[in-house]
Amino acid sequence: MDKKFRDFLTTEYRMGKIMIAPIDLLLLAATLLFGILLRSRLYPILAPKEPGLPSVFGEGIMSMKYFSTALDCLMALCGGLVVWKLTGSRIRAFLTVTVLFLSPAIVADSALWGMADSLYLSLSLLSLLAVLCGRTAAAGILLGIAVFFSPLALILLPAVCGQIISTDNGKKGKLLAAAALLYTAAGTLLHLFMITDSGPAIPPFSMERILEQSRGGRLLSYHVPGIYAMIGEGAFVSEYTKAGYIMGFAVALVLFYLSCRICVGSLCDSAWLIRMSLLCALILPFILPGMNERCLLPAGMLGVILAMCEPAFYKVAVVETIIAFLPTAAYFREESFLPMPYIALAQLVLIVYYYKTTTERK
Amino acid sequence: MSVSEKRKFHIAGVTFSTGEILLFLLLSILGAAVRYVMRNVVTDDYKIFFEPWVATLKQAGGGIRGLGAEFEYVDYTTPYLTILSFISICPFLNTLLLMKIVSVFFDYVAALAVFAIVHHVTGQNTLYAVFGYGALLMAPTVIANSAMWAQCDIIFTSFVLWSVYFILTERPAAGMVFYGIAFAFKLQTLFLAPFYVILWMKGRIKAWHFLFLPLMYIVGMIPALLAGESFVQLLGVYLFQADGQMDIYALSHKFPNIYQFFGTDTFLVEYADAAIYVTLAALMVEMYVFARKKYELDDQLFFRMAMFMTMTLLFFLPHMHERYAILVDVFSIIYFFMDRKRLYIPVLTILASFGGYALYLSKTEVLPITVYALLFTFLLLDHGRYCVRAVMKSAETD
Repeated sequence: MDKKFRDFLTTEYRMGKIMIAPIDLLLLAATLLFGILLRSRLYPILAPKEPGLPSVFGEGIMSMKYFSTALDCLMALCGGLVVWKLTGSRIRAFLTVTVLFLSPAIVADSALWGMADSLYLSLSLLSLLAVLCGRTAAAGILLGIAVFFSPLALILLPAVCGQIISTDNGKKGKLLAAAALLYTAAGTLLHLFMITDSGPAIPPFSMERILEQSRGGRLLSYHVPGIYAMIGEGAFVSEYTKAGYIMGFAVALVLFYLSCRICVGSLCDSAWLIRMSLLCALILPFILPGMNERCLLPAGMLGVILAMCEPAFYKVAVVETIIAFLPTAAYFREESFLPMPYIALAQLVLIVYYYKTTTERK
Repeated sequence: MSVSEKRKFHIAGVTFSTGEILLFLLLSILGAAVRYVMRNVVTDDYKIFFEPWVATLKQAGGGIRGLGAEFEYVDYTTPYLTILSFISICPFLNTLLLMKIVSVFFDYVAALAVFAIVHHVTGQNTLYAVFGYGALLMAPTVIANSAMWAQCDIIFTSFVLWSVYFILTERPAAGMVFYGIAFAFKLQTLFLAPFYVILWMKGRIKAWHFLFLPLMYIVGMIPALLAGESFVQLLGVYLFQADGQMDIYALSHKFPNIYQFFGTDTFLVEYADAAIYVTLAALMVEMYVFARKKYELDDQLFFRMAMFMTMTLLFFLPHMHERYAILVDVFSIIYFFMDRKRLYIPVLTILASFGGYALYLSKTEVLPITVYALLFTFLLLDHGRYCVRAVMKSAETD
């Protein structure tokens, strides 16, 4: 009897085009159930009042939280698809869906903040998937739309563009890369329009706008374990901001160059796209000024995806998952439990370790 | 008969040399000596909880009659309350010493279990078994738990160890009886329950064996039922504990887990509720990975997996106390004798665990508890990596 039941749980049955075991379905059902129950316990928590913040992000915060939860599902599914494409393993794809949907930083983004970041994350993942499928123009468009919803999607641009160029060599490749840049530039401009006061009051943008406004005087970063947490977030704001953007642009160029260089003229597996994307998602928010608590979401998400494709990177994934949650915890606690400079130092060590491991693998 | 053969002794199916017997006795005496030194340590738990509880039991008549006492608050189950109730009417020594003697007795029961397990997993190596026995007796957390703090965690731990021994020696029914007895003493026994589910998936135990858990719990209730206590109320002891209402004031009670990274004192209700689902989800992922593929569960993987799953619970569950990693501490000692290159596992495990003990007992924070939490996280990742690799490697060869 015991054996029959055990065998039933792990035997694969055909469902449409894929083979699936009852234990897989149990995992997905439990993921959805636990994911929703977990978020439901956090929904009552509201953002602390900052100077000028009107009644904790306005009236519709709960609706935004429900909406964001649905987007989290979408993002987790996109992550699963990317892993499936890269590894061909259903088990890893199912696990990716589970881990992403239950990842603390993702849960906090929807259930605590009520932010719709999973929307741009989903689009970014679809963009990566499009690159992996060789549909480079679609990748550019999807990334452009992602940037429209959040400029943070721009941090993936060096990796995506690099891979586009290496995928389609020659003139066509360059044209496609230019098109991708054009789409993302259009996305950036549209985003800038939406985020200004004159833009229409569409929830994701109005939430961002309210948050921006409530913060009053500008800081170099907000509870972010980056370089500014180590050198001081309130000094030389104007100068460091300009310098930070220039440095960020320079680093992005280097990353773009690395992306092209790694994949052109040598053996390059598809997983390099994820490795390079993670490198961008780790380094750029560390350097760029004006980053907020949610800027490490792409790094947390890509860390999980990379670990599922290449388990050797599991340490990076676990550490980054924890670090990505700490800024949000600090915001809601109104102070960081651990000193932020130390967390920034840990993030720097992680970046160096990850860079070393990645290049060694090359 | 050769000289060497003359010097071999067979005791309870184990072959000892004279040196091994002497070592065994010496370690036993030293274990007792170190506990004797600690005999007069009085902790807050004793003053605030244990002493009044024993006084209440004595007032109600002690022994079985004492179990009918009306407590303002008590979260122990009948078996340990029965022990306390008999202590209350014991004419010799004082309550503190008697409580410590009971716990110390179980230190030796646990040490003997470690002896038996190490003897089994090292291919009948008696010397390693004696070392294992001594290592448990000298483990700082074990000494502090029983001889300093007068806590009883070693009681359920010793039954769990015997349970593990019987499962390893392919006597699953006996193993589950002991697991049931452990459950009757402490709810923390359930930290290992997800691992027992994996053992079921691997065919090491049968589904009906799990019935020994409620059965042993009900058997343990008999003394209190004789004293006239309500059956329903006795069943509810663990529900009250699981509810966590008495520990609501902090997300972690000096235990080096995830809450030491982002704060133990904010959103107490919301985070605690959410953490239950995080824990369940983490376990779900682990159980899926370990149940989905076919692989061989050898002795090393057995203990690594047991530690990994227990540590996962300890890492994410809210309201964990300093003492709750005792099962992992003991398993790490046993594991060392199977994989002697990895001395860091028992050393760091016990160090991380003892960090919380030190904080409670000496009331001073020498090293920030976050450091111990980092150690705990490292060990958790190390066990996870080993288990996943072993499962994947074994599954590939299938």
